[in-house]
Parts: sequence; structure tokens; C-alpha cells
Amino acid sequence: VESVRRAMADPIVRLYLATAAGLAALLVVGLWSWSATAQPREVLPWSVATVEGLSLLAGISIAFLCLGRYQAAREPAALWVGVAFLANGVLTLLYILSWPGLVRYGGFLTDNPNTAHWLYLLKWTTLAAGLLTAALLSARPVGRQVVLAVGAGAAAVLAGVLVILVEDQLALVEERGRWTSAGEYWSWALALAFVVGSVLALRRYRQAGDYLLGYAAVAQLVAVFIMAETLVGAQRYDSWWYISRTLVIVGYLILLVGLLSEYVGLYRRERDRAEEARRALAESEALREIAQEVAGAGDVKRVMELVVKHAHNLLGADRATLLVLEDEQALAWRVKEEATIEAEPVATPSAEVLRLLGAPHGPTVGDEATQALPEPLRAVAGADAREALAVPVVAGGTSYGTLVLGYGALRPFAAREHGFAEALAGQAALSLEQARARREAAQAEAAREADRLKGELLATVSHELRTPLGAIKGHATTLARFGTRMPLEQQHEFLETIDRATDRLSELIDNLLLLQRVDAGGLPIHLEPVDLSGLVEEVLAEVGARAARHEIVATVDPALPPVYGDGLRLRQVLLNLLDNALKYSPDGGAVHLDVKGEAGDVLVAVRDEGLGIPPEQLGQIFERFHRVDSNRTRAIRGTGLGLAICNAIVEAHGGRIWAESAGEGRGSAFYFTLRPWEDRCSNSTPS
Amino acid sequence: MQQQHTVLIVEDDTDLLRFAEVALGMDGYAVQVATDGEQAMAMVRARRPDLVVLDLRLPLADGWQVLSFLQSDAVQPTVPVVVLTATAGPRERDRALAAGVADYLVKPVSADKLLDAVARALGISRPHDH
Repeated sequence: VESVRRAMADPIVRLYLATAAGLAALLVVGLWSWSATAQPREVLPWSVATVEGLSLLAGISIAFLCLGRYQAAREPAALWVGVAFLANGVLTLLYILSWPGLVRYGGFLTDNPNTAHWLYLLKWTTLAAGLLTAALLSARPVGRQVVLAVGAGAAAVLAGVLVILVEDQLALVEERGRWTSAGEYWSWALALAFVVGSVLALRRYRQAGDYLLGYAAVAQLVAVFIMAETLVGAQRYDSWWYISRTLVIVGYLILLVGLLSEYVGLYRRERDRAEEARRALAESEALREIAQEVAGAGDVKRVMELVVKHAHNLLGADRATLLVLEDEQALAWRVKEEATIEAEPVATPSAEVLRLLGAPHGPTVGDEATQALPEPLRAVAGADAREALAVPVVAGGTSYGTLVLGYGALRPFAAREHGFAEALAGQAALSLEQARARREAAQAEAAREADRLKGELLATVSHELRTPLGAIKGHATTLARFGTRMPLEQQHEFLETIDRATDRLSELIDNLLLLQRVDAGGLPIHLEPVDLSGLVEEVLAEVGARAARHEIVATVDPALPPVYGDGLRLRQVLLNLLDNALKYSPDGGAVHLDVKGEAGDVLVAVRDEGLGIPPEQLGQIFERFHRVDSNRTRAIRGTGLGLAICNAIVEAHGGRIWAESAGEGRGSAFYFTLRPWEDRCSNSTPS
Repeated sequence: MQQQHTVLIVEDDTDLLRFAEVALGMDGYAVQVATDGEQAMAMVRARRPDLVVLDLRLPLADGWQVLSFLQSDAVQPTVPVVVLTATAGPRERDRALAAGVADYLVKPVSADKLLDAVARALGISRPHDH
């Protein structure tokens, strides 16, 4: 039952059964009404010409379709069907030319009607034999069948020519408009051949799906009916005769239209396949391009752009968005105007989006799934999206985001397209995974470097602390041991050295603590309007006493507004810079302190004519414990922290500090900037 | 009176140099001073001391360079070395001891400790207090 139902679903089988039923009905009606229609009608020579002309045309067309384009004759069935129709066409032509009164009165090739009847039966015989052979041999490889088929076709044509040549010796197959018994037997044999051929062809079609045999089976069914004119004893030019001749056209047309429709289908399949191949090629090319980028420099931005671009173009999405989760922040890569691709943070990503992006989930596709898509993702697909494809961006069990494609219209997805979207998402995930690995490696490296620097700093601090401690301990123990034998001045000198070293140690500790506070989150400064000219006076009064060999020249622009700053800290900066200027110009000379306005800022400059700074060290002198090391500077005491502290204080004020020097022995200049009071009021407070 | 030994102190910090100079002088040594590595090597070449008190962080040529100079063939017989440094790291200590220094003192160091180390390095009994 199941196999019958399956067979019934086949369009050719249905056509076959419908044709059989129609012909049977026609036969019943014909037999019942036979007595009424059995009179000969008027002779209509054009009807013969039309029928035979059309069948000639259809036959040649069928032959061409079978043997010509697409080399369908590589199939055995097409070979035999084609040859049968070709030979049949030639015989039809001979038949037309020998029909008395059709082309010429009394016939063109012959004036013997019996010859035309012979040719008529011969052409049907050729067709019946050819179609039967097609069904019988279609399972075998073509091979030598070509030779056999061409030979058989040629033999049939030769037989036709022979019939014309030896017409006088031929037996009578027709007499006074009716078949003789010889003609009848021949007709019966043909009807039988068509029945067998039809059944075999249909069976073969069902077995092998050779549609050509399927249509041939239907055509042969029609041919059986045509041969049945013998059964009803029809005679020339009666109703039956006209009906059966008309059915000839129907039979040919069934085969012709069937073939043509198959050809159209074939063409469409070819075109679809070519389109499919083109898409597959474009997709693999896109994946190759991305994979190359992933494997190469690992530029995540470029990979994201390519993934979105190719998803958008090759999957024909109206909206293509790559949602990526980075450090709890969702980024959306999407196509902007003029086909540029940009990333923008998803404003306050909802917990739902983060959950969706953070957890691996299956792909979502289709209209129903689009309706079921969680609201945030639907919004990403587009408010008016009727169809969406959401593919997780997953690598190594970690989800990095989702690729969301939105479509304004319903659209079926081929399995290949789905696979392509997943491959794109996979590449994006791979790139993000690599980026994360790189980031983690860089962080680990930075942590190691920070540890190393901390160790180095500790060693330096320890060294710097031990030096004044060494002086204190050494001098104290020497005094204790040899004090009684030491001259009084020397004892005094030793005590003073201890005192100085203690101050040095204490200053060092103060500075270290100050820098520690800077590191721990910024130097606390108390901002207020500071009058720089007053501050400069104070500092000069303090430093002036130490500057016996120097001439300090201070120039403060009287029109300067007060600056926004911490008076105590700024005093520290000025003192440090002036101290340095005095210390590092051991031969004396002028020290200039200039305060003036410049480009909206207040610029403070401290210049000396001292030892100077080698140009390659200008950038390092603000680092902790960095000291310019030379023959002349080594005798000068310093903690190596003063400039680092100046730098921290100026930066905390939002200013800038830098040094200039024409080189060793040619003096140095230190500059720093501060913002005027009014300016600060309109701006945000410094961090 | 015992034979007077000559001690070269190589130290760039003037305070420390001063204390070592006075302490060793008081203890009966003839004291020479150098404030950088090159000066130290020049002085060893000119007049060989019996012992060198050596800082490691020095301008021009550092203590390690001076040390390898003192142990090269240019200086025969070898002059004993007492390192006096603010560098407390075990790596530097091991390196110096492996290079054959007589003692490795880390600042701060008392006058007694310095004098003991110098006397031990010279293989003499401590001179008595005067």
C-alpha cells in the first residue's frame, strides 16, 4: 500500500494513469457510439498533412533534444529514443511524399497507395521497436549500443527506401479503406509492442528515475490507442480515424513537452548549482581572508570588521551586528553609513544581554525563533526584523558574544549559510580568544616587571639609607673609641657630620614617605589662590643665606594673577629647584628665577650657569634616585628624590615640568607651568 | 713599634671616607684615600698599599673593576681587599667573596668592626689601644 501511495505521488505516474483512464473512456464511448459514426466522412487532405507535418516536426524535435545538446545520448534510453524518433521522422517524410494526392496527385514518390500504407506501418514499427529497446537496454552501459542504435536506425530508413523500390512485390495491407488481415496482424503486433514497451518503460522509470522513459511510457499508451483502430474496425476518413490521427499529435506532444520541461528543470538546477558554487566560493574566500588576519597580526578590530562585513554582504542581512563582551562591557560592531564598520558600546547593557553573551547558547534561526528571541537581541536584529539568525561567538567553551543578523522579510536559510555564519562567528571568537591570551600575557609580564622594579627600588632605598647611617655610625664609634686622643676641632667636626647625616637621613625618609603617598593614589594638595610673588620672596629669603657665591636674580611679572595651587607644596618645588641650581653650580654664577605668563598659563623658570645635564639624561632626571653621575657631580650630595617630588607636585596641580640644558658644563634650566586662578574656576578641579 | 701598614681607602662619600681615614689613622695605619675607581687604580700602581678598603659603587670605574684590577697579574703579590659597601644584596656578597675579598662589610659599620676586619685581613694581631 505504501509503495502504491508513493508511486501515486509521482507526477509521471499520475499522468500515465490519467492518460490510460482517458483513453479507456474514449474507447468505451467510441465502441458504444460506433454505429453512428462508422460512415466515411469527407476526405480532408489537409488534416493528413497537418497531422503528419506536426508529428514530423515533434519527432525531429524529440530526436534533437535526445541526441543533441547536453549530450543526453550518453544515457542509453536517450540514445534509443532519439534514434527511433529520427528514423521515424525520415519514414514519416517518405510517407508524406508517397501519400497519393498530398504533395502531388497520385503521390510524389509513388502512385501506389499500398506503398504509403507499408511506410505508415513501418514508421510505427520503427518507433515501437526503438522505444521497446530503450526500455530494455537502459540499464546497460552505452558502449557499443551507439553503433547498434545507429545501425538499427539506418536499417529502418533503408527498409523504407526498399519498400518504395520493390512496391510491386509487396503484399496488400489495405483494401478499400480497411486493413487486410495482414495489415490487421501487423497492427495488433504493434499494439502489443506498445503495451509491453509502455509497461517496461514505466517500470524502468520507477526503478531508475529516467524521466525520458516515463514520458515515453505515456506516449506509448497513446500509441496503443491509435493501433486500436483495428479493434473497432475503423475505416479511412471515419470519425475514429480522425480521432486516432489527432491522438498521434497528443502522443508526440506529451513526450516533447515532458522533455522540454525536464530541460527547463535541468537548466534551473544548473543555474542554481552555479550560483551555489559562486556563493560557496565567495564564502570560503571570505573565511580565508579572515583566517589569514586571525593567524597574522591578530588585529582584533580588523577581524571584527571583516566578520561583520562578510556576514552583512554574503548572508544578505539588512542588519548585521556583532555583539562582543569585553570586561563586562558589551560592544556592538555594525555596518554604518557608507559601508564603514564601527564599534560602539552598548549603552548600559542589561543583565539579560550580558547573560546571553556570556553563556554559550545554541544558534537561533527562523521566524518563530525570531519571535522567541529575547527582547535585547531582537532589538539588535532590528525592531522591524521578521527573521533573524543569532549565532553564538564561542571558542574553547567560552562565549565572547553573539552574531545577530536581522532580515526585514522572511527568508529560508540553507544549511550552508547557517554553517557559514557559524564559521564567521568561530573566527571572531578565535580572534577574541587570542587577544585575551595576549592581554593576559602582557598583564603577567607587566606584573613581573612591576615586581622587578619594586625589588630594584627597595635595593636602591636600602642603599641610600645605609649611606648616611654609615656616616653616623662610623663617626659616632670613632668618637667613642678615639675621642680622647682626637683634637677638639676634629671631635667638633665629627659631631657636626653626625648632625648633618641625621638631617640627610630624615629628609630622605620624608621624601620617601611623600612619594609613597603619591604612589598610593595621588599627592593630597589643598588648592587655594596662591600669590606667586609673595612665595618667591619667602623662598629667596630662605635660600639667599646659602648662596654666598651666587647671584640670584628673580623677575616676577607684577601683572600676574594668583595661581590655583597648594602654597606649601609649590614652596617645596621652588626650594628644590633653587637648591639644585645652587648645588650644581659649584663655581658660582647667576641663578635666574623668572615667573611670567605664557599661553594662558603661568610659567616658572629656574636657570643656572652650572654643570648642566647631558642631553641623553634630560628625560631621566625626574625618575627616582636618578642622579647625573660625573666627576663634578659626585661630590655633591643628593638623595635623587628632589626632582621626582617636584614632578609629582607639579603633576598634581595639572601642570607640566621639564628641563633644558645645552650640555655638560653649560648650565641647566628647569621649567614648570601652573594654571591661573580664574582659569581653574571655569574648569573641573584637577584629580 | 710594629711595622706600619699602608691602607688605601676607596670611597666616594666624603663623610664615610673621613671617618675611615681618621679611624684607621688613629689605629696606627698609614692611610691613602681615593674617591673614584680610576684614581684608586692609579694609586695602587704608583705605590702599592698593603690593603685596600673598597666601596663598590664608585664613579668612573666601579668597585668590581678595581677588584679585578687588584687580582690581575699587574698587581703581584695580591693586595688583600676589604669591601665596605651600602649594597646589602646576597648576590653581590657572594660574588665578592667568590672573587677572593678578605671581608665584606655592609654599612653602617662601627669603627671597631672596620678595624678588626682590616687587622684580620692583614694577618696581624689588633694593635693595642694607645
